Amino acid sequence: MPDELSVPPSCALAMLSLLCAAQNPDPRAAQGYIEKAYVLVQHARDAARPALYTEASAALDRALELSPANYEALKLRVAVLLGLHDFSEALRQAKELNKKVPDDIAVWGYLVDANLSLGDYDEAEKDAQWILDLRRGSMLGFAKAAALREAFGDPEGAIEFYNEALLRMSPAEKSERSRLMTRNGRLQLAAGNAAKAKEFLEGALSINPESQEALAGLAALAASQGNYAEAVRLSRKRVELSPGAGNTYDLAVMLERSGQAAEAETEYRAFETMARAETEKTFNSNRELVFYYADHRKDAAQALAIAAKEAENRHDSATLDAWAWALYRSGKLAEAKTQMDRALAPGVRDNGYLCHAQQIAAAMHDDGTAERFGNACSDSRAVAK
Amino acid sequence: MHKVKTTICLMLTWFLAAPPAGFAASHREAPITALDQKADITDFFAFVSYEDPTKVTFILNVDPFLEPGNGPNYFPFDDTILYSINIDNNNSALPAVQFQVQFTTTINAPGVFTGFVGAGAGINAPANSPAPVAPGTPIVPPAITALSGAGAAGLSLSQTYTVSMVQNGVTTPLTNSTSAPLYAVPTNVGPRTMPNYPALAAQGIYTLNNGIKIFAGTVDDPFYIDLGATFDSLNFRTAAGGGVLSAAADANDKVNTASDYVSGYNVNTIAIQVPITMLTSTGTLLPATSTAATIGAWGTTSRPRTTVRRAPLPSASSGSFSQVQRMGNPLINELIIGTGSKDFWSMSQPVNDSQFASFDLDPLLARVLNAIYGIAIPTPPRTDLLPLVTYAPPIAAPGTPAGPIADMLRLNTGVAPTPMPSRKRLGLLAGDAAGFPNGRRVSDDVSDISLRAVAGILAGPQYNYPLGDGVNTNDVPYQEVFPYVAWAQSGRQRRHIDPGEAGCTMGAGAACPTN
Repeated sequence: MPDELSVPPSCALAMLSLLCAAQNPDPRAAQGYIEKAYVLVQHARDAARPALYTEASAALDRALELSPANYEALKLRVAVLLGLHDFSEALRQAKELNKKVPDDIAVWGYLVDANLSLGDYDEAEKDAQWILDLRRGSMLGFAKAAALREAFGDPEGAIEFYNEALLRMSPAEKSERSRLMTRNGRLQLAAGNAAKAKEFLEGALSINPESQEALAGLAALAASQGNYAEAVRLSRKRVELSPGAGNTYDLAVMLERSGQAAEAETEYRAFETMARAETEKTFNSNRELVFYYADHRKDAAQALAIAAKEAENRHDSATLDAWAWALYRSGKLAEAKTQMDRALAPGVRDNGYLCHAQQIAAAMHDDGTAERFGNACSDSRAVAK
Repeated sequence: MHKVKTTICLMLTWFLAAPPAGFAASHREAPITALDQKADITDFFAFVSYEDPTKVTFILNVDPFLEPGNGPNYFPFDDTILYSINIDNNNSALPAVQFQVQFTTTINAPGVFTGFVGAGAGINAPANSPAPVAPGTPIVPPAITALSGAGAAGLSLSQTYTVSMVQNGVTTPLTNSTSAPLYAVPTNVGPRTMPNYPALAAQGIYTLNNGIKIFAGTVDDPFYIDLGATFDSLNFRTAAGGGVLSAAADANDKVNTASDYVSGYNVNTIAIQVPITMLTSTGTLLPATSTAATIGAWGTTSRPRTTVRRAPLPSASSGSFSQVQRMGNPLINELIIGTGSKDFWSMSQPVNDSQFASFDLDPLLARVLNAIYGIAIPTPPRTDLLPLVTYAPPIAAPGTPAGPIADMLRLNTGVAPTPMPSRKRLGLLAGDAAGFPNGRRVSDDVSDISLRAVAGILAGPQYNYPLGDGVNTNDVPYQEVFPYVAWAQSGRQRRHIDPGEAGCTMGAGAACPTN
């Protein structure tokens, strides 16, 4: 033992220096870039503009140059990767953060999002369950679990959890509140509750007038009621706000349904150009491109090539459904059924998928299965997406 | 039994060369329990019963810092929590035996504004009582003298509980030998309402069918520590050597040189005394030298979970409860685990504790002690701490399978209890083989013991520093018989012995130092 045991005047400082040893040379300088990135990510989500994510990414790169271990910057980078649909890399980085700070539920939320998008539903469920266990009654836990209930074909349960999440959300969280209300509106629409759907979707749009998702939901609602003029108007507004490939495709579909073939063709061509340009990027419209080639251009080979490539990276129900449909259009019925079965395996009850499953079954003369999917095709036109 | 104890003492020779000490229990030690006080485990104890060495007593304390006067609802157990005591008897760190306790609350008098009320033989409406209450109508019930039936009219709120034993996947309800319900003992409201509280509390000790004893209720918090100084970045009192005790202060287990911050507070306890033959893998009493004599034990609290999937859809997330907290050794989560991992630790199982090895093998606290006091500490990896988290001598007999790294209290059931006059607050470190870290008794000074263990005492005598907070004993005497903790402090009469107040040791002696 030392001869003299003394207590230094500032124990707190000693602890702080130890705790901060591996951290930032100048965290304050990095903070400005992090805040900028945060705002850009919020805006990018609302406007569905990948370019804003790219800007956010650049701001984060600068923040991490100044402060290499900055936890908030590292977290936000995962959000950017999710926004850019680079789900594999987002998952990898989220796992690293989760290992460092396992009590951060936001990171568990990223894990849910990444696994859900990649089609690893079991892992996504474990992650969401952990949030529910770790922070009982938290908004995030209910929101993530609701998304999984949707994926598992429990829309009523999903509505219940979205409502729970909304009850717990601060009124100041306009962007996220609008997003959850839109999901609820979509589910109400799929369940045939048009009035409820309208209430949620209009509410979502009033909270966030730039919400692409709310506009798309309202367009789908109008289409389901045969009001294609309104559906086109809303879809056009959406494209004006955010002229991306996906929005353009939806506009083209609405124009086609409304009988405006020439205008639809113009938008389809514009869509094709934009979508082909981004087809190799993580943020792409490849799923729409598959249906475009399969159903509109009647180019099954193109559709299948894109679908198969997309399915190399993701195995979520939406990706597998598109692949199954491209296989069906290519006359590869057995393979189409295999992928369709995989798409439906989690339990999802989306009418679009069920309609495809019905047609595949019918083509294979599997009348029992085709019968099982009932009116999925007639319903799916109304609530597609 | 004395011979066995001598054997264990010999096994500890190297260990005893230096007197060690440690840290304190775990109140609000993780974010999840800071948010969920009712599920917060404050302490967990396991020891061979003083008055019956054929039995082990487990005590699970929850719900910290209960201010005794904090009516009108006081401190019921939470009906939605599953309280569990878990025992590993085959070195697997998995529960071979579990005792699970759940409570049910009954509101007996919904119109009464307080949970407990009573006075003398009861107070009736006086002659000038306004209508419609006629003079002579009973208003205040008689003082509370019983947990049920006559003498219990003043219990506006009461709690009963069930206890089950789970073994090999089979759940066996354990019932009162009289078949009567098991009542939780309410807190000590005060002398008017509960004029003979010890007699009332003693009614809450039940003998179950198979010789198990159980008690659940509010009691004095047996833990003692200068909490304010500890978490003011180890700013211990000058009178306590600034955290380095004088030889005299260290040797005196009966005098405090700093304020016990838990003094005058109550806590909720579940105490259960179990025949050792129901705990060991052989189903027999074993000598301390037996490799099967040492068990591992930990307490948990769990709550019903909200699941991603709704019934009746098949669920990948099995289990109707999810764990909120666990405790084996004191202060692991409080002082070792990093803040960003505390909840993860709380919700994990001991068998998976190797995932927290980075915290255990290079504890930040050790480096803080090194920085503050300039003391030499062992070089990481701190394998010297392994005896606390594996089955190893000096607690377990040589040859005992170490099992996985797991935070459990290890108790060698073959070591006889130490008689009260010979009992040492520093437990095993002071040559008292029946004390922490060989199990944990209510009187063990785990604050000082843990501090010294983290500083390196287990690595050898060169790391023997008399570190301590200066609080060497509880504010009230413990009981020498089951349930061992002192009865709940009175809501009306309680006293917190704060810095600067007279009577630093059990309300007597010198004042508690301020600085």
